[in-house]
Amino acid sequence: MSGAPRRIFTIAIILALAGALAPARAADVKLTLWRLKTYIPPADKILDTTIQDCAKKIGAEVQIQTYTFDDMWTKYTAAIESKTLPDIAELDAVGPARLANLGRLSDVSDLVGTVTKELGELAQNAEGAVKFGGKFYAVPHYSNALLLFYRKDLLEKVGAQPPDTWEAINEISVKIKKAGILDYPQGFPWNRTGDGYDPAMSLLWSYGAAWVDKSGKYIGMPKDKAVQAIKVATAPYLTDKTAALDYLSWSGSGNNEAFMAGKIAFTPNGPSILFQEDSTKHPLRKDTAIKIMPNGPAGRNLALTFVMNWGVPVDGKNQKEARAVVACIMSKEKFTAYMTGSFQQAVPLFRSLLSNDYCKVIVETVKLGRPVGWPGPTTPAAAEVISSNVLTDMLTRVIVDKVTPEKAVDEANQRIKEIYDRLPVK
Amino acid sequence: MSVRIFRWLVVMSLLLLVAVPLYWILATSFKTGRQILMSEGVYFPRPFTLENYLYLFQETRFALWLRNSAVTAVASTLISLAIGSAGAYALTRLRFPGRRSFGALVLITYLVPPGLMFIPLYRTFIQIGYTNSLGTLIIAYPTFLVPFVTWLLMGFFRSIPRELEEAALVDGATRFETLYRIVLPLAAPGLLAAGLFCFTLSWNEFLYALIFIADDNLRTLPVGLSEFVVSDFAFWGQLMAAAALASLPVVLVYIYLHKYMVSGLTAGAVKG
Amino acid sequence: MAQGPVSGAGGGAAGAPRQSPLVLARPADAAPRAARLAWHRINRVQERLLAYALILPVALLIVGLIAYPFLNAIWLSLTEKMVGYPAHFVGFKNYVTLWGSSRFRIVAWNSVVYTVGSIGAKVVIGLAMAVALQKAARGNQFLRGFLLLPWVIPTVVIALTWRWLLDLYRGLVNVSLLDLGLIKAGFHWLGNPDLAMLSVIIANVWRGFPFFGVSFLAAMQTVPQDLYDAASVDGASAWQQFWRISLPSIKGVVAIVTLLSTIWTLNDFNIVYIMTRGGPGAATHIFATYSYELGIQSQRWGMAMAASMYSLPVIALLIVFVVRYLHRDEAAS
Repeated sequence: MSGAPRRIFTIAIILALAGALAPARAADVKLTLWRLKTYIPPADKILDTTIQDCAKKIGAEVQIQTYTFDDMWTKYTAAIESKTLPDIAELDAVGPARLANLGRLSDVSDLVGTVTKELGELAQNAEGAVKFGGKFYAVPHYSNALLLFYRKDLLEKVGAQPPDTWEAINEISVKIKKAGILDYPQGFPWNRTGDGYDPAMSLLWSYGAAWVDKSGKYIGMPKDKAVQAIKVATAPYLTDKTAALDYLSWSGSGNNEAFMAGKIAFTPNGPSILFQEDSTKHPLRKDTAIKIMPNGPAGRNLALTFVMNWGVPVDGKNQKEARAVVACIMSKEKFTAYMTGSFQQAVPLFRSLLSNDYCKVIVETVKLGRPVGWPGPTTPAAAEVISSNVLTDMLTRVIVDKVTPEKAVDEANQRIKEIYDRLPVK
Repeated sequence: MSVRIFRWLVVMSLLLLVAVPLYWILATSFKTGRQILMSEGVYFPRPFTLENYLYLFQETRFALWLRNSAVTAVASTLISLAIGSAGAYALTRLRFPGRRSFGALVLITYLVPPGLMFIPLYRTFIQIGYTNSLGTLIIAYPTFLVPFVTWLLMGFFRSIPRELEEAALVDGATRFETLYRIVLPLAAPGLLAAGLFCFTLSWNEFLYALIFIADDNLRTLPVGLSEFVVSDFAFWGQLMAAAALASLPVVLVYIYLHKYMVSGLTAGAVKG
Repeated sequence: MAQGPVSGAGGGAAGAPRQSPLVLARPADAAPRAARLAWHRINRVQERLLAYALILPVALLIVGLIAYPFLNAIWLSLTEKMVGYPAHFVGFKNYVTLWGSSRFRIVAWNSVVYTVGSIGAKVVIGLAMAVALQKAARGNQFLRGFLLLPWVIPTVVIALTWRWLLDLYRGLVNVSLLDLGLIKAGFHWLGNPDLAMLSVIIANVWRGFPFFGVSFLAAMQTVPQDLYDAASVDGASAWQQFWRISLPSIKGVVAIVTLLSTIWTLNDFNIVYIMTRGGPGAATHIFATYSYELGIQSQRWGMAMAASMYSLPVIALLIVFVVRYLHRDEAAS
């Protein structure tokens, strides 16, 4: 090569070498965060933006992975075994209990302290899912309360008042069926989703049939009370014929769709029905009403099982940064923006934020709602009772397999006892 | 006469049986969310909309899932074909002690189902420390692909007359050369059939992909499809659009190559 | 044996001269015996080495990724292993618990029903399809391709589609039956326990029948037309021709295809999991879905493995059949 090109070539080589040998920019801290994929894409977007902003603020990079409610435990199970839990994990009502018991969650009491300073006290029952042995193992953030949905126009047609007991729901359903309005108006699906096990707990607890005592130790469901509850729950399927067998196999969306298709008059669900009706300008929106879940002889002991919390697993190598991100996500400005952007579907678990912005019914439910494992704390054993669908199986045994309620209770108690033997409550 | 009626009946019913669900997938994919919710225009989308398809590419990582599935399927197929054809050749053409038992062993392993193996296989990968990567799947899929490929190709190799190879051997070619120059070209239809089979099975695999991979970016199509059912709401329109597009590549491949599939399969079955 | 893949090819080295000046020619017959033996020995060693080299990858795969995990599975089934906790040995406790569990007995029964029902339907439909498309008529080529589609489409898609088709209020099946006035109220395809089993079987059959049909069809192509012509001349009806000629000729293929499909179906996961998750109650739970439930929801891996292991005796019987068939085939060829 001659003259000028040679010089250019040499300079180019030198520059390239300089670039290659120059010290690499200090690697950003890389965090992984797992969150639930919700049915409100705009809210998810707000949360993602918040997370990324928070990460940038502390000079970290976050990779967000999502899971749906159905495959949440598939993901977490795989990660628990392979010791690859993310740096920040959004957990449900039983996640913190399970993971804390395995020693896989960091103590975040200080973090909760910081958060409550900004956002105020936690809601009445929010601690149950995250506080064990006096320490906090996750930071609660929102709940999706389970409400009783009903068609107020149909109730008017048969001259009924909105029901406040489980029996009343059945009675009104019978009236609606007799009037020839709907064939199967009672849409309580004792299935293997939140729409099944959440009301199942509310039902049993409202009849005084909890399976543990205040300390969380196993005592077994009192047979007479449990049988009473079962009879009320299964009557629509067995005797009244106001509920269709198909409802038992609904996935989480089944009852939403049936309600909006105008085929059922009652169903338990989170506020998603309202959201869907609003967003599609649904004709039934004006006839859709909500009420707090019913009362029973032992009181209105509602379950609050859809609560989401931020945990910081010990697997992560960047504990400090992870906690900083969580603190930032839960800062007043960002958190309220997220809650506002969820179309009132997500309800904050902080007392002062439970205000007029939210429907009274929802607020009341959150205030009254009890954690899994009531009257005791949420324990891994209680978690497994729910995730193994013991309660809804008990009901379907009576409905589908035509077992007697007494036998079903015995079976269920046996299953629960076996779980508690395997996962003793400390 | 009655034979003709029978034929006509069978053909018509099968045609209907196959076409109706396929139509339903396509029809749903062109409906709006409201239509689906309210059961408007059940039989034919009215209004006809492309919003579901647009949503797939704008709001979801569909293209990424497509890429992941393609990479996994192609790699698994190539690996399985290589391993399987090598094994099949050895088992049919070469003599070595333990040949019979090894042949039986390969076929027996075919009978161990993924539905049973997902947990222990996952634990094995944990022990090696290699999870959450497309490579994990590419290593795992051959466990159910290779035995079948081996079996299929054994049948194929057997149908190729030994004389051809022996003549070449006499001419001084090494075993390897005969494998490369004579046997493989003749077994091409069988290889193609086996390859299609591997590709289809890999493309469709769900359970391992669900459990072995945690990373959203490494999701394959089947797992991605299940994402459209979000607890309270099943986005059927988008789901069916994704389903249609997820099926398209395999369907196209089959339209062009299905006759090899048929002859390859049956050659293996008839002779194997 | 059909000449299939060979006849199309160019014949390769078949036309080459037997003797050639190339290297390492086979020793001439006049060579001393010792030299010949020596040559054979080297050749055999070479052959063996090549053989081992070629089966090494398969062997590694089998040992490392099939045998080892399988043994691991057996070990797991003898322990109480909950997710996150270390495993501890409990002997046959899991097996005993399952044996005594009414739910598990339902699962085992369901698996049998699901498998037998699906396979039976697939065999029948497969045979019908093969007979119907036997002639090389014009439309048949297209049909053979089109009818292969269910087998090609991802199973996840098929399961979701059938779930959507059988939706109580908005699924095409109920909506069209109602519109045609054939029924007054929709069928509870996925809610009624018996109908649910039928539904998953239908989805499985829809997905699987092409494999049967196409295999049987191709096998039937190898039956010489003269047999049929002779039978027609003798006055045999179409049904008799099928029963006496077609069916016996393709016996082998029917057996193999049925065997393979039975193994796949017995441990099928996708269809049932996606359509019903094993519900309602446990009406459609089969081995694979129940094992998954135990492993993921109840977080009990030991128990999950024990449940899967129960399907093995059936598979073992099938193994015996396959191996016997293999040896019979080996002896024949």
